[in-house]
Amino acid sequence: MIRVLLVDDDQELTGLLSEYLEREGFEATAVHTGEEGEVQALSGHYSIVVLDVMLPRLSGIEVLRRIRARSQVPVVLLTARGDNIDRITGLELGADDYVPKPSSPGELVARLRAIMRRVQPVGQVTSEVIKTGPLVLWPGKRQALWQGVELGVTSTEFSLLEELARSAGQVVSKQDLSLNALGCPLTRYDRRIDVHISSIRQKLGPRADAKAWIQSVRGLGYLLIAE
Amino acid sequence: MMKPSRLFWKLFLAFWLATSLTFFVGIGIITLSRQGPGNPHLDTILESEEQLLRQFGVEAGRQLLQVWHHPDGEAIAVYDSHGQLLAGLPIVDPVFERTVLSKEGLSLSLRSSRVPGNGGGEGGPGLMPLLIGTVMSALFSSFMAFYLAWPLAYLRRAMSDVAQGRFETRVKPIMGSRRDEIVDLAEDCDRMANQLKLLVDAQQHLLHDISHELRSPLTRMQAAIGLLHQNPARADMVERIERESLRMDTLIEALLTLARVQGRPESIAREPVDIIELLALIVEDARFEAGIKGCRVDLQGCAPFVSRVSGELLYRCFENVIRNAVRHTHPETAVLVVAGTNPDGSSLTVRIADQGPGVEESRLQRIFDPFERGASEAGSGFGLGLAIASRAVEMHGGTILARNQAGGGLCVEIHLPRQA
Repeated sequence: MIRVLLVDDDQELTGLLSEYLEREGFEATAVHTGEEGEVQALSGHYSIVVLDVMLPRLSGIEVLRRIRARSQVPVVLLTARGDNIDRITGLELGADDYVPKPSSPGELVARLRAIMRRVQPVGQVTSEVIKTGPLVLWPGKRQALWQGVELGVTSTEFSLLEELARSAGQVVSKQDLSLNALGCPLTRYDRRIDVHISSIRQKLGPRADAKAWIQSVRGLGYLLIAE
Repeated sequence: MMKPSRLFWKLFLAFWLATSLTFFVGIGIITLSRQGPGNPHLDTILESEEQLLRQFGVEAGRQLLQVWHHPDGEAIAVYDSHGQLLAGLPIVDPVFERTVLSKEGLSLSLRSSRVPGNGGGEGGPGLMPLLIGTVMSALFSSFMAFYLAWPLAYLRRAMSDVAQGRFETRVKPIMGSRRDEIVDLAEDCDRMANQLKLLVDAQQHLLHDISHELRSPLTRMQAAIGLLHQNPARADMVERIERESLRMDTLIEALLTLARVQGRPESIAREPVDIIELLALIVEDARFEAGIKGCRVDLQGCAPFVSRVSGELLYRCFENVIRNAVRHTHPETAVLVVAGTNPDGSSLTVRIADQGPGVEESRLQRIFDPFERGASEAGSGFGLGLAIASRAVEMHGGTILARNQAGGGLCVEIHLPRQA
């Protein structure tokens, strides 16, 4: 059973969404303030958090910042349609995905499932290890070591890194990254991949030759330098 | 430094022409006064002398030259063919000489110390002072023109910045310590830019709030539709969707009213309305709603107060404030509506007091802003009621203010002048 935490000040909406999610086989709990959302998200009780950006007083973005300071629990943002700033800021702060408001609850469920598939891969050999350069990945445990140190990445970032590492030294197209790592096809003007990649780049730091470990190949995609 | 503007050239030319003309006229007057009154010009004298000699003879010519009060350095003389002086003063080396046949038939020589037709000469002003005067006036004119034209160029640039939406433009600081009407204009320009910025920001903010408010019922509708897809037997979801669409309609209605009360006061239709009667109607309606909560609404009216107002807008105004009070007053308490005119009956004051939690002091000013509502009341109403009330009162030339009462609860005081 996947436990979902809904953080939204619209009580009627969370009521409807909880009902919908429960019929889809999730276990949903709703809280209505940012403060409560932060506490609940950090409780470790939930597998995924759905967080509204427009919360009174403590904004969703601030709640996300506080959650990310202490936890890598997957977070899906509910953002206003057309509000690109919130969206990009959210992804940069480590949100795994966003769903614009208003959209159908089916859309939300699809995104939640895609993220959960990544976090809990089914039928995968847990002992599989991917090694490239200073990077070691254990996809079964969702664990990453970078230059011998534990790398703090969100589940979405892990999936992207995994895709790049599997084809280290080769260009992986954005379309493939979107399909395999985010679980949905790339749409036009979709900046999600780029924002996630830039966040991973920052965590990896620069190479000795001052170049980034992940190179963008214009019009083609991204490439993880293999050594 | 900027390129001289067209205005600069106009001002420069105007000043230059004006100063040069003044200068030349001055020079002219000085020259004329040097010749003095009754002191006709050399040319005229020469002309007359010639006429006299031809028509009346040497004697007449001599008399004219005797009476002619000649200026220094100017002399006219008449010699005969033998070089004998007949009239005037002797001239050693004549500059001008003409042969005239007199009445007596003598061939005379008319000589002058100066060339006629040449206004200059050593007596008149030289070319040098003219040149200096012209250059000086050009310098002065260009300074004046520049002094007046350059701040206008900055003002123009600032205005075009504002026109392009860059409201942070400020032109006053560029003017330095200058103090005149142009600086006042610059100050007004800055003030206008600031005011526009506030207005545009408020409008942006309002638009953002409106889209959020419209989205909330839309999102709930989507969720309800999703549930209906999941389970077509959920007929209650249809009611839900209906309710949400009604809510959106109410919001749009309220927005339109808000837009209407933000217009100019003369744009609304007015008719004589008894406001006390209007209050009684609204209180009657509100009692039903209050009854559900176990609350009362008490009205302390006064004699009829008839004023030319928009009955519909004021109805909405008082209804919004009274219903707001009913919504916030604690159960089993009363909302008090007190109306009273001032002694000469020229204005009406209505106080609507509830016995609820009141409003934090810091938020008191903002409760009349659109979409501004308390944290505890998310979802109740749209936060437009008090905004509409406040604009409607302003439109009728009145004032509205809110304060917390000593015993708890919020009191909204509306003050309306009588309009005939």
